[in-house]
Amino acid sequence: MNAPQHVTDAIVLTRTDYGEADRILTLLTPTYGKVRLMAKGVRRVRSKLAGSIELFSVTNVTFVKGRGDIGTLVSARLQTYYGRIVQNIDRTMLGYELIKQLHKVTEDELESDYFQLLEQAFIALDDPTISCDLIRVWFSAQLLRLSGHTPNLRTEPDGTKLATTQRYEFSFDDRAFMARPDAPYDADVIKFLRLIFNGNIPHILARVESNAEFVARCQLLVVGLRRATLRE
Amino acid sequence: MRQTGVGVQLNQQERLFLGLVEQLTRPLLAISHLSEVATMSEDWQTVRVLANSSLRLAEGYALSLRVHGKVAPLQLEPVTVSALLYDAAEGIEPFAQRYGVSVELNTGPRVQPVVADRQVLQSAFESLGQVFVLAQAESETPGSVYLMAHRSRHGAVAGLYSGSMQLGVESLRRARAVQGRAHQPLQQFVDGPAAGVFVAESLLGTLSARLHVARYHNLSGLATTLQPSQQLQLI
Amino acid sequence: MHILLIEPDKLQAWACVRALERAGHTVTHATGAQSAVQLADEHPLDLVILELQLPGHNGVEFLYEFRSYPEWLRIPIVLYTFTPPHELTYAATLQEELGVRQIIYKPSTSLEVLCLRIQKLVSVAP
Repeated sequence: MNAPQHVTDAIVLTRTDYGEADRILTLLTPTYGKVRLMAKGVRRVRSKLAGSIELFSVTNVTFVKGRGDIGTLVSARLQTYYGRIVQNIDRTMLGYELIKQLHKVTEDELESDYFQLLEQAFIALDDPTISCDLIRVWFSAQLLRLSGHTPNLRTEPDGTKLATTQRYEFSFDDRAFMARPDAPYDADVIKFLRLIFNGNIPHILARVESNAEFVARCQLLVVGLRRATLRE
Repeated sequence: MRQTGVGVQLNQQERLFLGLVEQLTRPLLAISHLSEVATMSEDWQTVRVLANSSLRLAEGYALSLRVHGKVAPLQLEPVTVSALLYDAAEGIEPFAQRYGVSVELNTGPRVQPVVADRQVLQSAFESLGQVFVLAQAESETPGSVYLMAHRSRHGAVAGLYSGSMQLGVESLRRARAVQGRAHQPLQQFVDGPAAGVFVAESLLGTLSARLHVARYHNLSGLATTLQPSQQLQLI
Repeated sequence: MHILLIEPDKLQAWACVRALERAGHTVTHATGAQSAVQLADEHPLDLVILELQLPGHNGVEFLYEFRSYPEWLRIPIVLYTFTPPHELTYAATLQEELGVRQIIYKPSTSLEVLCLRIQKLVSVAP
């Protein structure tokens, strides 16, 4: 009896070598989370650089589950290729970096939110008007949000509401802002952080006036929080 | 790579200039390196051709600046499109030959004469020609670049075409947006700044014309539509 | 030494190949990432010289693809590129994770200096 076939959209996370002619792909899917599939007979000569499973793309794949944790890729059809990413070296490197971050900080069983996050990252990277810094900060924030580690952007650790006229410093221990004169963060930056952590997509954030300045000011905080919170 | 869209405050001319400088870096470097290793007269011929083609590109840009800036007036006259394409092909051919690419000419019957600045138009096609030659040269089996003109209901359509390289409307639109801000605005078509495309557009702009993606005889390319002179048609 | 040169401009490549051959190396030339992977499969390599700005798939994609094959993990790679140094914000990643041993800015490096730097790289390699 033939094994049942599964069909899903997928994004490539990693590709590794296997034996003489095969490759093992780790794919991120909305339905099955992370899936490891063997692509038979595609090593080198039909290198992945020319294959139907491109990096920075969404591909519709058909696979069968294996006895172990590696299934077999039956077929693949490219759905959307975010080709502008690779027109720019920095954006290519950031794309690889984001894929690696997501792969490292997540388990195999994933909600579809992670697939949408990575797809949204590709959409943003594919748009040269959206800066790499914005995308980097946004992605770190979403990883924190999806893992339940959104910082407190409403009150100080003692419950006092954040005021528009105050300046604040961020406490990594309390994961919250504390009022202090001459501190680096003001109401505008905190509002911007709320927009980021509310899950707004980069295209919306890029429309915020002075967003480049806000990104520069909160980059260390967000990326630092991600590194401190999520295992990498 | 440049941070596009954030903090980049270049105007159109500055971006065109930046793209041009980047484009010229390449043949100038090739000239420098060829001079290091040149032993045969053939090598020096290549150096001369590269130098000349670079000069033509720079001159094309300078001409577009002069005309746009009203430093030099347009010299409008009746131009036979097929004859002009022939001259442009002669200008492109030495460069193409160095890259193993052949240049073919094909002008259809009854292509209307147009009123244009001959030097501007020829320079535009030569600038475009360099890009098409480089694109063809990059493919595994370099083929031919075609200069073609034909009659359409909108006017005389003249441009450059190739068989293997597909250039899409969307690619051209995006390239215009990132030109001068990305090192490879037409990466899927040709490596490098492709400044020749944008110099050609700048030149054609002085004639109120523009480049568009075109298909003709199963070939795809970039062409411009030139308005025929009504008076000349009566003659 | 057998070198794979990945350079899209054929005239530039021709001069480079000449200089490297005069320095005693054997050179295989690829114009793009795809053909480079195929040629790497056909010829045993000692060194890769790579331009980042390639048609189609860029040099970074080539680097990740190349390094995903275990037998190619230790082959040294030299970037010889038009991308200006101040724009290579990922230089550290390129060097630490992708095994790029040197980053050389093409417009300011003669072929003679390129050959000398490669010779020096090979002579200090483990």
